[in-house]
Amino acid sequence: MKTKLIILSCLVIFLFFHVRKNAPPPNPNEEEFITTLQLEFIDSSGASPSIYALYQDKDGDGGNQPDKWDSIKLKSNTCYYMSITLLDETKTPSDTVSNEIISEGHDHLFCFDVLGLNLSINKIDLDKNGLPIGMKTKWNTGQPGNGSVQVILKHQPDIKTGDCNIGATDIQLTFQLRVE
Amino acid sequence: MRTFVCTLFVITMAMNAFGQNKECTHDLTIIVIDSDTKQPIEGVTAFISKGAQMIHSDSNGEIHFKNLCLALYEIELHHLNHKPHKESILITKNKQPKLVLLNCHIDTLKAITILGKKSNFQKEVLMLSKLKADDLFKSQNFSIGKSLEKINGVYNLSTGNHIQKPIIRGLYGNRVLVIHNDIRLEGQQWGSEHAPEVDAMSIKEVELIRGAQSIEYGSDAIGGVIILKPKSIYKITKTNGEIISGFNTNGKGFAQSLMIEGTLNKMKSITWRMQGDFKKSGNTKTPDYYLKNTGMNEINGSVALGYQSNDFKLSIHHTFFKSKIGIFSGSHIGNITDLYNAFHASKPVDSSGFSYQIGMPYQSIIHQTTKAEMIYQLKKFGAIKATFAYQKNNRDEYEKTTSTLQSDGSYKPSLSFLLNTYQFDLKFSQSTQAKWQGIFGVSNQYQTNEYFASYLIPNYQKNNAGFYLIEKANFHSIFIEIGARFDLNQFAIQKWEQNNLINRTHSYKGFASSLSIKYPSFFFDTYLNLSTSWRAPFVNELYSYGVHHSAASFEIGNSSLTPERTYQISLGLIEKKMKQLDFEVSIYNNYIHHFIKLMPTVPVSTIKGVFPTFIYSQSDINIYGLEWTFSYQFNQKINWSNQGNILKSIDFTTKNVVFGMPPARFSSDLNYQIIKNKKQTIVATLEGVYTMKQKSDNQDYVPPPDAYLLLNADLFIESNIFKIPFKMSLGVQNLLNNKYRDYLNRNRYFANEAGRNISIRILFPFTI
Repeated sequence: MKTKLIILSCLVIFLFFHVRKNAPPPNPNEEEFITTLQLEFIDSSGASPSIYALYQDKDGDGGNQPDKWDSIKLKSNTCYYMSITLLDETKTPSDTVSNEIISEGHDHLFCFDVLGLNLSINKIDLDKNGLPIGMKTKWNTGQPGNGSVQVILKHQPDIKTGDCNIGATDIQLTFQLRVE
Repeated sequence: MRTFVCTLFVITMAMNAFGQNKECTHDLTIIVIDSDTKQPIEGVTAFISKGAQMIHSDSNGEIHFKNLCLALYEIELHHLNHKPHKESILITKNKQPKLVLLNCHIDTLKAITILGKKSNFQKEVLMLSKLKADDLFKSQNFSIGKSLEKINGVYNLSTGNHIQKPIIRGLYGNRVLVIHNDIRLEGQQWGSEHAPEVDAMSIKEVELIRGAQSIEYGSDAIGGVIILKPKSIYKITKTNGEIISGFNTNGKGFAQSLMIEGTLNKMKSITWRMQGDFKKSGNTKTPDYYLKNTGMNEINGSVALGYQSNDFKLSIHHTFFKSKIGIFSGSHIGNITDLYNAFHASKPVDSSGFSYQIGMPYQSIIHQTTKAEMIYQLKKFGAIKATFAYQKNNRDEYEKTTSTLQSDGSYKPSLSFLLNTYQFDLKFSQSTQAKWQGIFGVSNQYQTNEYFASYLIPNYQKNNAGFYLIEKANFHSIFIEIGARFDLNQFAIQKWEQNNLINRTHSYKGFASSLSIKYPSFFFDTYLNLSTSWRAPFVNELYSYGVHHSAASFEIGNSSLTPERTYQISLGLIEKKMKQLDFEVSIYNNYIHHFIKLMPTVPVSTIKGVFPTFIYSQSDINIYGLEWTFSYQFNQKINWSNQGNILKSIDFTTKNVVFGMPPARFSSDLNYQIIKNKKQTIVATLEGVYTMKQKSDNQDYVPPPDAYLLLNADLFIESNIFKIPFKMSLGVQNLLNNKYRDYLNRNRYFANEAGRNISIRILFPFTI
């Protein structure tokens, strides 16, 4: 009986000494996000300064409303070169996520949906397989008017064909667009 | 594994001193004695054939039959705490008193009695379902979930073909307890894509308790309890083993298992067992296409050591479970637009050929359990059982978009959790001659959860203490069990909010109680159960925050949730006394006050687009249903068995059905016994399962899938070749190669279910 009690107590002691205090959880700010999307429009004639449009949500998904969500203003009947920059501003200094997208261009595709305006958008960059990425585009505006453009980034590992309806969406943002 | 089996000494003394020749004037006296206490047992019901007499034993354990002829009689003994016993007794002239030692099972050892009483009692008063080793062997499809579906009314919430979470009467996850090898399985049960971390090949018996009938295992089991039992370590008598091999054509899956057990040469009281297996499967094929990245592999092992003496038993077990499960790559989507695109595509873009390769997304899980158990038989009062268990669960989930490459070339998981659980249970079971027999138990659990990657649920430390008392008795032929339980549940959480580390504590307590009555009558046994129980909100319901990728939804926890409480009533009839017809019918009603569920709220807009957003909220709901089984034995060879169940629900807040409840299902199987003798058994089975379409009332993004019919066939052979015994099951699932989608599979938005599969399982027992 005594030995049995000793065995029993040893097991209890073993189990309860095993319990330890936890380390604090990792701060989510150490992860990678896309918080900011910047569109830069350069007038192909070089006549006017660059135009910027920004979407910025510094605390990431959910939480506070986006800090900045610009509308785009372009001139009519003009040709622009547009390039996209993606940032993770939860980091200091901020991390340029777009560099990774370019290096993995064969897995990514930007698409643009224009509503209510006569505007043509052509992708001018190509990945290693010869398919467009859409990080750099050429925009030809037509008559003045109001509308919107939706910027979509698809992650399409191993399945990229140039089709925009496949893969997982990393970005889907609608900007108000005014052509003057 | 019939641990509940009790050993009975039946001392039979045939006294026929008065009898002469063939006159029916002889007497028979039987004295029934408990093998453990050596005390006579009162109230044993004895039946004798021919004269059809029924007598109860008196306080000396004596049963007197009178006016018997000089012939062979069948006697049957029944008692609450003991296994029924049957014997043929030949009444002879001047027959000497005969001492008969009866063991209900050849390999049953004495001390099993201790636990046996409790379980046996439960079997008496609670209406439960069972799967035996042969049922499990036949239905074994690499995961325990598929086997459980053989039990009427059990469904699985699946994610593809390899992740299955059992649903009992519409409830799952934290509301269903899985008891594996006598301890609560503690994995990340809150996740709907997290299957129980159990090696299906090591399980030899399954018991299922529906609803909150049993308070022994925890008050949070408001949906039910699944008891998974490996072979008992105390029942080993010689060195022997078992080899199981399995193969599936769909996914080219194979499994191999080896088990060896024995006793020490010099000390027969020390027993040991070692078991190990591995499983591997490639991409699942639907009738039209392969599902990319749906392979899996799993490695399991366990060691156990047991010791037993007359009044003491000790055993130590360690089990190791490791699995890597590929998640169908077409199911990983960004936002709701992707989901609609995937749903309306005629075939997933991500389709591929066959491959064993598992890429991202995938889950990687390691679950380890160490358990020590001690049973001490007290001289007069009963037994004490103490169990200690430590469980360690590592779960890493990798996703295509969020798993980042580390400097050493490996990927960092997008979700990573470590769950440590320490458990201590103490149980006292009384076995005196008093009318009321009881079990008193205390259980304590300490659990810590840590995460190392993205936030989904916070770190926490949880402590749960529970006390329970179960009393049972029989009055004439009515069996009664009453039980009450108190639980105290406390936990502290740590999470980041706006760069600040937040600490919060929660504390909940409550009572659960249950009353069960069994009334055996001439034709059938009636079971009635009334119970109430409660469940504290879990950490995910309080604090989850983020996008759920396979459902394209944003889930938000609600830290003001209160515990939910259930009030259940169920009534069942079981008839197994008629020669050809057996039936089982049960109806139930489950009212849940403050049921915790996900409700749609204002959509969240993120850089990935706008997400349908759900917040955890509470409302009062009611679930009610009907389950039935009837089987008819046409003749010695043909048996026809039918099952069905219908479940209805209402949410009193929305006046709608409760989202995600299982649709009605009916199944019918025809068994044809081709050969049945001592040497071999061959049985052919054809089964049809019809699953209805679920009414969703616009609570889902897309309409629920249509009703479907599946045909399955199985040929079971138990025989031997060159004196080597074996069991074999040759099965075909989805015989017609039907294209269908299942409402309870989260992949229903993206792809069809698996097509035809031919499976082979072979089991060789061996002795060394």
